[in-house]
Amino acid sequence: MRRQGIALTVLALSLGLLAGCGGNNSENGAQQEGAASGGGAAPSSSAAASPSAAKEPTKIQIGNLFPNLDVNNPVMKELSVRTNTTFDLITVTGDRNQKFDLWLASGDYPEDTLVLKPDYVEKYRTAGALMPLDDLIEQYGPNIKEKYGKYFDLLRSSDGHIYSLYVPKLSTEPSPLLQANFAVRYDVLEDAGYPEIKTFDQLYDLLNTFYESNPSIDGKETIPFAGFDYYGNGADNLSSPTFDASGLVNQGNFTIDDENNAQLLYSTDEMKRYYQFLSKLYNSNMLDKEFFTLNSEGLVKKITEGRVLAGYFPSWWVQPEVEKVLRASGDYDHQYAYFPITFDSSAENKSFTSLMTRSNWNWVISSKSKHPEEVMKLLDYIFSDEGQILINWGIEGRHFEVKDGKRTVLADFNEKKAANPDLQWTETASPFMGTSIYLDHGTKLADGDYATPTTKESVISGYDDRTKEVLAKYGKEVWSDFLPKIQLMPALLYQLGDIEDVRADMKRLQQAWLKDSPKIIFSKDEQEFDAKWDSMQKSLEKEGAAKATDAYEQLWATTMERYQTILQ
Amino acid sequence: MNIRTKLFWTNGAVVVILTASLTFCLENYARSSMLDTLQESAGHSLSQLAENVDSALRSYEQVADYLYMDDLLQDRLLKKFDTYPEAHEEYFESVKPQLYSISSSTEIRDIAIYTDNSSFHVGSIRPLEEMSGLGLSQVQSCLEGGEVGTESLRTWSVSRDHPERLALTQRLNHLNSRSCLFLHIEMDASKVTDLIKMEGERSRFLVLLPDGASVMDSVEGSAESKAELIASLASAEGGRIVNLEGEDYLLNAQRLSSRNSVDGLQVASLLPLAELEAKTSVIRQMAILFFLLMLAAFAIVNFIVSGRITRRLRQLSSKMRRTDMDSLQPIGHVRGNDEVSHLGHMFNDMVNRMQRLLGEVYESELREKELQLRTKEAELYALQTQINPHYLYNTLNSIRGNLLENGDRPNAEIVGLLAKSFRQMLGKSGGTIPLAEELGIVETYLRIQAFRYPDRLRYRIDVDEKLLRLRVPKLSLQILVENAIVHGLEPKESPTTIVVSAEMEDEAILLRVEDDGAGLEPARAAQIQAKLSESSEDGNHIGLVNVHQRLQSFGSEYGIRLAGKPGEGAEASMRIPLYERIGTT
Repeated sequence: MRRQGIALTVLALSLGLLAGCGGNNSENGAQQEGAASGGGAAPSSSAAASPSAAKEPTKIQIGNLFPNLDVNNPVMKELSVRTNTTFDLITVTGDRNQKFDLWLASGDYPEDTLVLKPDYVEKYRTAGALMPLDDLIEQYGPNIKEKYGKYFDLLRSSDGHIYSLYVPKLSTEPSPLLQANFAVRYDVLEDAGYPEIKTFDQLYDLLNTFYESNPSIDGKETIPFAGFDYYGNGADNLSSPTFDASGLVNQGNFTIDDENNAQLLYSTDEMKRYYQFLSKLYNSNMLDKEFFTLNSEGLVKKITEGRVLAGYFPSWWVQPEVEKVLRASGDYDHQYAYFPITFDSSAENKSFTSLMTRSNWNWVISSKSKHPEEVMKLLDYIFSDEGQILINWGIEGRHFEVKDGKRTVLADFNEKKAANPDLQWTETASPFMGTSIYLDHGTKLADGDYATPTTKESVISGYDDRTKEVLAKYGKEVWSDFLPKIQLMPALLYQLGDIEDVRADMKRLQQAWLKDSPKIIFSKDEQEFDAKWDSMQKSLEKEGAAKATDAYEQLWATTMERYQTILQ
Repeated sequence: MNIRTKLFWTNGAVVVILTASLTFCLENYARSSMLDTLQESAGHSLSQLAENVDSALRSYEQVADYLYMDDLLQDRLLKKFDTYPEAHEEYFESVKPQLYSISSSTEIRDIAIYTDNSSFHVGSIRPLEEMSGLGLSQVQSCLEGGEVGTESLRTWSVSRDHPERLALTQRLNHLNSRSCLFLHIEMDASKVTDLIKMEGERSRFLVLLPDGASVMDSVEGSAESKAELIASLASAEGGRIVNLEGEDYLLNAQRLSSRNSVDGLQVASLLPLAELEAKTSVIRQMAILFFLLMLAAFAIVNFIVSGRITRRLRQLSSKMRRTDMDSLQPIGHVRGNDEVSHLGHMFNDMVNRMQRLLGEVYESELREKELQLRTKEAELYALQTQINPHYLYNTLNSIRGNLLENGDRPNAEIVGLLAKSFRQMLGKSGGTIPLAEELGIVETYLRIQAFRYPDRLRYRIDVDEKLLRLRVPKLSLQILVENAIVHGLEPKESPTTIVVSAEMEDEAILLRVEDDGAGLEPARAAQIQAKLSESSEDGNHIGLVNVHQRLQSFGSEYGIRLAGKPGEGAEASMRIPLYERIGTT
């Protein structure tokens, strides 16, 4: 009895002790919890060879191009859930190329995956920053293989390995978003009675007329023709319009003729002709003085101030940056019509191309990744039909519905999007948006429905009445109706990356070109123009134009051969 | 309520009160000290944050330092150009690459130089007029024309066009102290706000520039409450509680003062007090939990211990209660060596003593009775011894002889009878004598009595010969006859006849003495009968009582019975068991 009592007492006391200690622990836990909220990234779990359903989500670090993207928007969350991952976005702000270069210099590129243009893919590859993807695709990339089918080798680079991912072009219809790149404002056209502008002379006259009667708007000078520096590149402001204006396929820094001969763009007559046009504009005070120094933001500002009448506005820039803003502010009359203007309207305009792959902003897996399988699985998921619907359409019930067997964007979501162009960042955007991992508009998935909501009908319905009115004046429904035949190309030269041997030469050539171009365009008269042009040509020759041209011509030839075999 | 329950509850009450107050005090102390620690740490992390903000800003000021010292650049910027293309060329040649390389390496969002040199407005070199909105005096004096001051300028502000950016403005007047060249760098305020986000998601932060503009605040609230908040910041160093939109916050503010450019910049943090208290409320919960557990454990232990302590007491108590006052018994040995066992022992001692006392009283009573008896016996013996039968008998015989000599025959007869009577009565003392002897005594007695009452007494003895040998108590018949004479004859004037008879009846001898004397009232008979059974102390009827009781001791059917009719006579009968049973008493 005594012993029992003692035992019981001891038990009771130790219970009390435990309670006290337990109290301390949970207290500490609560404290730690509170202090660590919002703290640094948790270490990502190690990748398992065969993932099970109860596995911890993998943290994937992604290089993201969109500063406004909300990583917790519904689509991102859903993607997280479906692929059992969480996202750590490393966002690129400002000059992208600068950023990519600095990342490479410091080795601070995102740990898992990032998106790069083909030339930077090549840079990164040679610097050893990329993981070869062949084996990973074999094991974890069934959707990638399925989408490519027998054209799987299109993913390979010149050394035969795969370093970046991009989708093939599967659509049979052209993208309804295609439009020409030379833009002219509605009111200018209206003033002139809606002429269809086909040549630069026409354009010049049109602008001149309008400028004379409207030298200023709201106290600020009118700018008949404008351009911007393409995020520090500067080159695209001069090269792309040259190709378009000449009806040539845009091969980057070179022109390539039907016999696969290459010529340095900066030496071509085509460029000279375009420069002459610009110079003419400049001497008539119709070219924006800040043509070479203005950034995107600055140009948008000038446009929204209503000062800019025309310019070379590529669709990938004007649609998100300009059209949305003008529509949202109701400034319909200051929107732009897009014409495929060329110097020689009788010649065939081949400048609008369609490629076998959509290689442009391609996805790579960094060599630092600790769980490349998980990254590949994520990227592969985006390749699947489900993934495409998620990143292009959004979430069923929230962004779209299936009406009469067809996917349709929900009406009220559509309205909200039109009123607030930034809604996409908090609703449907992902780092994959707009990159080469989404199937082109007009592609149909296995279920027979479109991969993206952008169809001719959706584009038309997105037009405001003024736009429809203007289009109607030309008897067109959409801007792509103005386009000439689309050229099917296996690849483009600028996608093939740098050639190491001549990289320095190319750099010098480009610098000489960019330095001299403004001088040429600012020439007071024809004499000065020719002199300055010749002077540039001399510099280019000195800097090794011939060597570079040969190298790239060779590259083109070998690439064409390779593609012949693949496409057989 | 029994003692165990009392003990349990008293113990319980005391312990609960003590422990509760202890727990309460400790918990309060712990909570407040934890709160203090949290507040302190909030203050520390704010200091750290302020440091971080300071150094983030400093890294951009280094760019300003660099360009300020760059005389070559300033020289270029002050050059006058004749044509735009020339200026354009110079810009592309030298200024643009430099600005480009600076902005690329430091994540500057925008870098611009504002100048009043109208011939060199190309690209990032912009007209000074665009800066007039900033309200900087140095800029104003440049724009107004006339004498230009030489004051330097380095200041942080919020970008006008992009409120999410911080702007650093630096006058580049190293080469020429009157030059109106102003460097303007814009960086993402997120550089600063990211530092803040790392602190915690639920705290709110404010970063205020010296000019009062807020760089960043994650405070949700109306403009008025924010303005109030900003006003109260001045006195918030070291932590204060403020109320913002109905919720209490701990406000901590830190002022930067390491450099002129950041002097006056304030970083403030607002910690929701509820969050702080939520953390500390865990302590309270744990304290309560612990207290309850301890209470439960204590209740169990208390219950057991109180039971054990009081068990012996209770056992003692129940044993005592069971004690019969009439037949006191000790309660048995109580084990142990404490007060309870003392009580037990004392009780037992008491009981034993009481038993002894009772015994003594009983004994003494008995002894007293015996004493009385002995006294009487002694008296009797004394009487007996005083009376020497021979002495009496001889004396009486002498008298008788004398009387005979004198010729007094009647008196001589009487004396002779008396002598006989004495001889008979004082003869062998024994309990029983044969009936014949007894009858002899009776007859002698009767003859004597006849002498007294010559005309009144008549008697007859009617006893069967066979019965003469049966033994009867000595003087038993004689007593009855004596009574008959005293109570039957003497009151009656007329002659009375006494008949003495004996007969056998059911293994007993029935001796009868009848008289036709005064008689006996039945009530009186019953009374006397009753008195016979009592052991009365008074001297009356000792003889009858004695005989009756002696006979009764052999059975209730034996003894003396009286009966009578008033005026007609009485009968005293005596039943005696056969001498075998009487024995030798």
